[in-house]
Amino acid sequence: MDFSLSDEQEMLKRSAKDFLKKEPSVRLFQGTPQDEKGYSSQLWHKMADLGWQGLVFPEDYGGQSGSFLDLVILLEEIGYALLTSPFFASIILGGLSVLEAGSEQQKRRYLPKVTKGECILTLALAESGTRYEGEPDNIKVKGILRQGVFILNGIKLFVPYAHVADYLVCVTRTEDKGEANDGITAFIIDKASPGISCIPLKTIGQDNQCEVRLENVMVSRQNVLGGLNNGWPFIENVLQKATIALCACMNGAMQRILEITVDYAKNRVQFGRTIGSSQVLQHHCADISAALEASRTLTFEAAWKISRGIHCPMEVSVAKSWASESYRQASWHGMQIHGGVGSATDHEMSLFYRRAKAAELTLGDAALHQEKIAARLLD
Amino acid sequence: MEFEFTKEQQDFRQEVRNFFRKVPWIEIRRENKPFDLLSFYKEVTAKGWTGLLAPKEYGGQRKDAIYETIFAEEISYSEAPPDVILYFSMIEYCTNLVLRCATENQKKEYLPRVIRGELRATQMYTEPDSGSDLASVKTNAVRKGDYYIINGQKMFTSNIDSPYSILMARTDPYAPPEKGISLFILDNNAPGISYTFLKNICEIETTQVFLEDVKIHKENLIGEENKGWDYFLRTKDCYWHKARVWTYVNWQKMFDAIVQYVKNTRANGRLLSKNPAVRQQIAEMIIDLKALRLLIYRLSFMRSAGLDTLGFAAILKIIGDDAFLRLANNAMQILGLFGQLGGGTSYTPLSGMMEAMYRAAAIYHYVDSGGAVKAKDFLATYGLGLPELSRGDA
Repeated sequence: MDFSLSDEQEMLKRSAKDFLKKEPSVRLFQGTPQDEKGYSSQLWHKMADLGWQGLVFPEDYGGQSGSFLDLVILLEEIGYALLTSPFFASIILGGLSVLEAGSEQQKRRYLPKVTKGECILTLALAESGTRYEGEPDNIKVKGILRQGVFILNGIKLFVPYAHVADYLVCVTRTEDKGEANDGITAFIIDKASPGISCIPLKTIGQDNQCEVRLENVMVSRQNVLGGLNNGWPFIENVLQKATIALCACMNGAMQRILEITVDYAKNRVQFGRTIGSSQVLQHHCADISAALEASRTLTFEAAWKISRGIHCPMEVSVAKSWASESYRQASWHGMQIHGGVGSATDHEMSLFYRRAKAAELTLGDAALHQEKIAARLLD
Repeated sequence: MEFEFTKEQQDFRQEVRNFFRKVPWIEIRRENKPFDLLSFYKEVTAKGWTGLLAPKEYGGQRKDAIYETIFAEEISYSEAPPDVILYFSMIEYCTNLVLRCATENQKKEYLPRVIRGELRATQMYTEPDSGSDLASVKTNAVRKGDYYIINGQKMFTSNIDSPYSILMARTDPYAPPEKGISLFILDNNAPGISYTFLKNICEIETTQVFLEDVKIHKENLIGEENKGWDYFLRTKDCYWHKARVWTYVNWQKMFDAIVQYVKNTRANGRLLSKNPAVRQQIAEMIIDLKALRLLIYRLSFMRSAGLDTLGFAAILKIIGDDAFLRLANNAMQILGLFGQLGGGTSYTPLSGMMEAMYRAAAIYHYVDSGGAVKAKDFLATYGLGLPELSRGDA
């Protein structure tokens, strides 16, 4: 049992924190995105120079062969800074899909560009009628094989950064027989292909999610990612990792809420004394801090297991369930202590309030993961 | 980062487990089977397990808080009765107190006695008018020659039959409250001590203690005079830590029983395990248990790494006390109408353990160390640097 970071991990954490603190465009992109891309591509390339996009990819593909645990440490800082970027979409959802399921040829084709930040991937998974990304029976976008080419039709929702992505990992139904998780095939598609259109979704988190329409999009057989009709197992693995990656971002955000809230409580004077001398508000701060430490410990345990290649759906569900509840609660307490000033659109507290709800609903909220846990224990 | 135990720790766990589980505790408890506890304790001491934390020069093993936690977990899993658990828990409490607060001479003198199990102490801290505001204690200790003369009253002292108490008393009535307190080792059989029993919601006998001109030799002042409040704070993390280990293990055992219960019990034509509300309650319980165990070991790790653990111990108390209350509440609701039955009736589910644990949860959440709210005060001020609650003049 050792809960400390290695020297390298401490260094990664510190340098990420320092970099994001000094970088003015991080702050620029808080609140409503300022340009049509919705993020700073200049910052994106600086991140690539630091090696962030390549952190968990093998050196063969231009990466740094870091562990998943290293990635989680970086993601905490990304969450702390409220960084708006395609990192989660391109690296976690898209990049890990290719790494997990791609053929050697596919990995060589896409990953070196992904790890350099030169190309953006994303995952097109959720569809209308689902409450959770990981429900295979809701995959209805059709992929029909005609004369050696797959024709894709349907609508994908909540696709992050699709508007700027170069490639989509698109999860489709290619066969209707058998269990819901059979007959699913993932394709890696050039977004410039004819028939793809992209409409931004107005979401509470202001986090660049899109609707992607596919109309008779033609994809070659070579673009199948993972096996034909056998895409679901790798998607499930990627979702496990993505869930813990998201928890790490949430923990970082909670850390930031805690810091700005405690700081505000210490300095804001009302009734002739600092509001932080009020026991009720002190307890709000204590609650944020306590729940955060539990969340962090649960996330790290799951991340450690994933790093070791241990399949750990129970730990993943426990961590996401805890993080969902505690981040939302932290955003409530933070809003209460900041009061009016926190509700301003250009105050980060208001963005945390939005993002906490978004993160809670993404990749399964507490109730959803509790049902998964119950199924493991009771069925 | 490493979430596995070392080979040495795993071997240690196995050895303790085997040793404690070979004793037929259940028969001893249920059938009053004669058992020589004293020689059992001697065997444990001979194995070095009562000196896990103490350095070698004082007769200890110089292991760390992770070993201490493994030991505590395994005793709890073994079905050993509460007085056995208490015996070892008092040894740990005294070890930490002496190690962190006593003078060098006292360490040399006391630690070997603590390790042998002779110097076991309960706490005499709380008073009728000093509960959550413990620093306001009024029991006074006046120095006369080589002795301190003690006068005052203590409340809720449990285990009065243990050989010693750690007494908190005021040695400087003119200093600010936190600066005039000292801690003493008090022989519980000293003349001038009397007590009456108070039964609490857990049906545990605690006592109200009256101290009238009780003499304590000056050598039994722990550390230095007027530093008692600081010493009390310095050992709070161990106390908060250990209490949660025992209860966590109890809950883990009971949780397994509840899972079996909901899988095998039908209500309204279906298994409880198919009832969505029950499923959610069960999931909430395992989430709490998993969080709690990790926090327990994280605190063990921090203690063994020599980090400041007071703030984190408050976090463990806050999360733990919430968890204990929620666990007990969920368990009672799962049992429904029958949840209210105590042990001993033929209708009682799960031996009435849930009914007892629901009562015990009140002690943790609302009473112990001023309850979870007091730990939140502490975390907010000590841990997060918010202003301390100022003392009024009522």
